[in-house]
Amino acid sequence: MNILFWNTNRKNPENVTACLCELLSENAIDLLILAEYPNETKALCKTINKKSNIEYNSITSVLPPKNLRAIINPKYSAKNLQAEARYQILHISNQQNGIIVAAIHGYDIRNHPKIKDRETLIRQFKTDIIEHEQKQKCPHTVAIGDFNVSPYEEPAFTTDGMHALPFSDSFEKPTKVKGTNTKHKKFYNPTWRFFANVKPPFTTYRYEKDSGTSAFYWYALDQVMISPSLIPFWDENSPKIITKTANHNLIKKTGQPNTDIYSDHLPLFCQLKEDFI
Amino acid sequence: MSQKNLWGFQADKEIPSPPRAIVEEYCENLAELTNGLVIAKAKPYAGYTTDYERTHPNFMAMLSQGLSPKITVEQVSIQEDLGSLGDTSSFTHEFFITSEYVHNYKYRIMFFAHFPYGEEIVIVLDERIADDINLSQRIDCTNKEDFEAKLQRIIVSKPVQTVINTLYAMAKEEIELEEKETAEIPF
Repeated sequence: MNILFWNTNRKNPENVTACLCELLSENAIDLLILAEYPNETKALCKTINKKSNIEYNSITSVLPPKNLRAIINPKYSAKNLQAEARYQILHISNQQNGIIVAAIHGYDIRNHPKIKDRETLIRQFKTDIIEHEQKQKCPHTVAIGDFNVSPYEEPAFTTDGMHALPFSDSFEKPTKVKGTNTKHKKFYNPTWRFFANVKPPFTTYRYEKDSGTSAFYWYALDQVMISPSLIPFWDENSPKIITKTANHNLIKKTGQPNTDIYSDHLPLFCQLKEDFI
Repeated sequence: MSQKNLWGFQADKEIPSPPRAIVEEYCENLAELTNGLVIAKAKPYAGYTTDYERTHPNFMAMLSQGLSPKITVEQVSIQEDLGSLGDTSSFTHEFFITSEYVHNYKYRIMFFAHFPYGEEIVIVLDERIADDINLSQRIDCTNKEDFEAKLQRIIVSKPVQTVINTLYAMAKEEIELEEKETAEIPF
């Protein structure tokens, strides 16, 4: 199963839509999740289907999230378990198996400068994922989206947040914090693989105006985190940052996202091996 | 001989009903109105809701300044105050709508929290409802009357009404489909 997440920004929907048609066919995408895409999901689906061999279905919701859209290959069935303003939790299945896909567009630092605010949302997100895993009797979750925190920030890795770690060998047991009775589920965060690359783009987002003492410039706000049970079925080259399609170049010559024409974020591609789902 | 009361305990003292009791009345009413096809639940919540500022008199400052009253504002993490993930706190609840006929879909209307030391009730509202009825996402209710007044505004908001009506229609459709399938099974 191939999944693509992209924070498309709102500024260039026409260019983004044209690019999406190619992104989907060139990468055989089964599940597309977008953040900040301004047009309706059904309209997007219709446009894509005109140029695609696959008749994608739009994933609708009783009350949709504010900034998230999703479409899916009809070989999978999608049930909407919960749609908060900022995140959506889906159960995706085929005849073989089922997974939970939880997509998020977290609070951004400009409107929510306090890390605690951003952590609050991420903690609610994880609490709801665990609840649905139990209800659906399905421990296999892919959490993906623009978390608006970096993998090395507390909401991403501490037990109070997603508890998503970069080491795939420490997952036999959940973490039990000394002095408490609570067991915290761990996630594996393969997004860490982007750090310390030698060529740009290093991550999916670059902040040009970074000038503080902790200026980092390239931020991995778009991340994917998976349940330990999915590690054996995770493609080792995932996630990948996509920089171009046949007719669209999403980066400038410098390797930075081509913000003026497309989005300030780059798309994030990931793959679950087909022998699982 | 009359019994000593060293603890100041009064068995017949009226205890204000916690907000959960108020919300549960609304839950029962929705189940009645929809014949159980759409239900609302108030459940203890173990995760974060929001941080908040607690104001209280600073007694040390009062003593040092000749008992002049001084109020300090303290930033309190609701989590530190009410317990960690996995501990079910009786003070923080989530209020949501669901239907067992629609694969347990859940729509969370709000969180609400009350505190053992006062009448204040805090609501943290779904962003879409807050936008619709022009309230901030975090609402501080001074007492249960204020809480109930806010609750009335919230449940008639457009997002809540949309969810109830859609779930009701979907649940009815699901039942009709099930009945049709059962009727079609040959003996």
